[in-house]
Amino acid sequence: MGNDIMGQYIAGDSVFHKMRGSTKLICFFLILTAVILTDSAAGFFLLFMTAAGSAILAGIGLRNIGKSIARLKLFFITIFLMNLFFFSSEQAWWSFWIFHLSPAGLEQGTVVVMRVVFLLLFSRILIGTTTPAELTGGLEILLSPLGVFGISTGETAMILSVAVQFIPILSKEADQIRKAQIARGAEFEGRHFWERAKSALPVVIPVFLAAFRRADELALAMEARGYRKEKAQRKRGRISIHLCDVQAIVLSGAVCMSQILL
Amino acid sequence: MKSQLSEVKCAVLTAASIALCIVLPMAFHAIPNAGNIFLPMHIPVLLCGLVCGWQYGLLCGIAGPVLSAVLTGMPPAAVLPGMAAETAVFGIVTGIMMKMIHTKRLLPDLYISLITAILLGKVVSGAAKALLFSAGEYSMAAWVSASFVTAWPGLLLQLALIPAVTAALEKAKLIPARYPNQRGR
Amino acid sequence: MDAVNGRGIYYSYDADCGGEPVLQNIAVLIRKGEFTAVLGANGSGKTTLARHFNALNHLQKGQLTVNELDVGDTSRHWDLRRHVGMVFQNPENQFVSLIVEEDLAFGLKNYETPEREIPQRIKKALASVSMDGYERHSLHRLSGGQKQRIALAAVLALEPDIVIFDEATSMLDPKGRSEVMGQMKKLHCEGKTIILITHDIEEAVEAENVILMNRGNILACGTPHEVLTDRALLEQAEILPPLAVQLYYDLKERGVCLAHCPLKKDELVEELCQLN
Repeated sequence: MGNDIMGQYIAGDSVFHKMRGSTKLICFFLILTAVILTDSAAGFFLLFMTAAGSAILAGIGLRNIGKSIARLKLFFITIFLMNLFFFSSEQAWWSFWIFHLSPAGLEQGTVVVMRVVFLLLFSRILIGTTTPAELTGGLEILLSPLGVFGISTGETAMILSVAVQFIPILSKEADQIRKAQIARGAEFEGRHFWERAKSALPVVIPVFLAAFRRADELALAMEARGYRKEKAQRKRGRISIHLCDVQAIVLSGAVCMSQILL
Repeated sequence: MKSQLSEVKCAVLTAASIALCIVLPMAFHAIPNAGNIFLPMHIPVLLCGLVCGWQYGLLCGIAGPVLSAVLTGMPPAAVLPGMAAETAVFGIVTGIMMKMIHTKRLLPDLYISLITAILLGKVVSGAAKALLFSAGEYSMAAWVSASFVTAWPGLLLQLALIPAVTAALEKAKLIPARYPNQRGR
Repeated sequence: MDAVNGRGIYYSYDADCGGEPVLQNIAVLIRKGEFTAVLGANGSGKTTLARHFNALNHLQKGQLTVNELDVGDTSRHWDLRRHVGMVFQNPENQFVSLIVEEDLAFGLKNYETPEREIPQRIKKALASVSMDGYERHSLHRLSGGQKQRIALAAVLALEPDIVIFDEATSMLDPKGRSEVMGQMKKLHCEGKTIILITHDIEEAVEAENVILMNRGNILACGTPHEVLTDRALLEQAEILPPLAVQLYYDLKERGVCLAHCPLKKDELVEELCQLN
């Protein structure tokens, strides 16, 4: 899955591709707020139109995104059922022990699943039109206030860049560790919840050791290539803001405000 | 621990911890609702603060959940703000506590730092949800339920795993020993 | 001019706690433009020694100059590392970015290379490892040999005088290994000082000069013929001789004496043909 995340950028020259990474992140967080606030049919319809419009403008087919989200259907079913049976016992249609099938549970399950689906939709559009470098560059700008705590923007940028490139590597490492444990008799596909949970534990310590070992070697390689923290302060040129950046932020803000009113 | 680690190494270890905030939950994804129960994203943040100090712990605590939400959609939108506040506090408090506490034994240092960080993190997260993110809808009962009742396996996991991981890292000489001349900590 | 000149080098990883020394009273001399292999079994101290050459390990005792810079002077370490490049064992643990050109730009930005020069330097470095046009490629999609060549390009972008290969082929398949060894020979022909750290004797055979190490000491130093045909010495270093040397001695024990002890396969074939 690590490679899957990193391989989702689709090269293009749409208006989304031209926007700054920081703008797209700001818009994403505004839309994320809108998703959190949405709980009506009209609100979800507005979100759907926003997602469809964004996908068309970005040159990414909703169908492709839909397929990748559909792979998580088991997860959606699980959270829907958990809300359906555990959310509320008021005016339940059916009750047994701790399980209560109620209208409020049905509504809550539907709302939660819809929110997660839309969040994933917008997330896919973001990473489909933003290279890892643009993403970390955008995050670097948004995290620049951390400079008051002694971490420069240059260092933040480096840390985020390295973090992103570690993801597929550590993901592969975790997978190899799992397979090595399976070869030694560990079971990861137990039928019971606690069996599966227990089986995840022998992966955790080796994954940490592998991650820290790699970090140790990379730190040496970076020092060998002249990296110094005190020189990591970035020389930032003039930040140019285009009309499409402003428009995107305004539109995202409008969607967010609409959810408050709907 | 942090004072003997070079700053380059702290930075790269922080990057690895942020990456683990995304990779570890994926290892648990086959287990339904594992995120809320086992809290796999908290472990790298707590460890980062313990090993690298509070500034790096803070960065990991914010960047980890945010990057994970952007790249994988997890944690879900409704949970992200409260979680980021909580993990930010984890990173800060573990770093500060490890700097202040010196019982001359590793395990007590770790447990005091972890328990303090976890409690403060839960309080800050609850306050943030009650006052900002879910104003008017978040009760004390809901806070206790989410923070301790649902998440007790995760809390146990953190308290058991993090000292074990720290000891393994010291033994492998990937981090400097906190008390080098001590035996049988 | 000497590329590396050191004596009395001593190093322990646990120096504060009186730990076992990993290097003991090492004296080393490598001339400019030489291709030197530092050969030893695992734990012999060869990597520890190599990491002194670019000051990744701080000099605890002794004297060492590299490229006429005093390694003991910590204020010169940053300068030193521009002149001494190092390619490590695992290529994946050397990358700071997902895209080739961003990774190669990392070192150049650390040394404050003007922005307008960076694309040209990257292009030149990629060309020197026969990876032209790979600027926008994703690093994690490359083969092992390609990744190691990109890691080498990242080092060459800084135009170092000395390039250290620290077991840089041990994680590669035969094709990848051959690619990297080819790059080493090419760089040597271009006048760079090459230091190959290896436990593979068949690689050491390719060098001009071999330093044989065991348990933190230098056992021998000389040409490959002088060092790698001495069975007793190699046994002391806990290393098996090259295949051609093993065959030479096996044949000798069975009464078939070759005129000279060969080091490589083609030398062995030549000697065997001369028997007729």
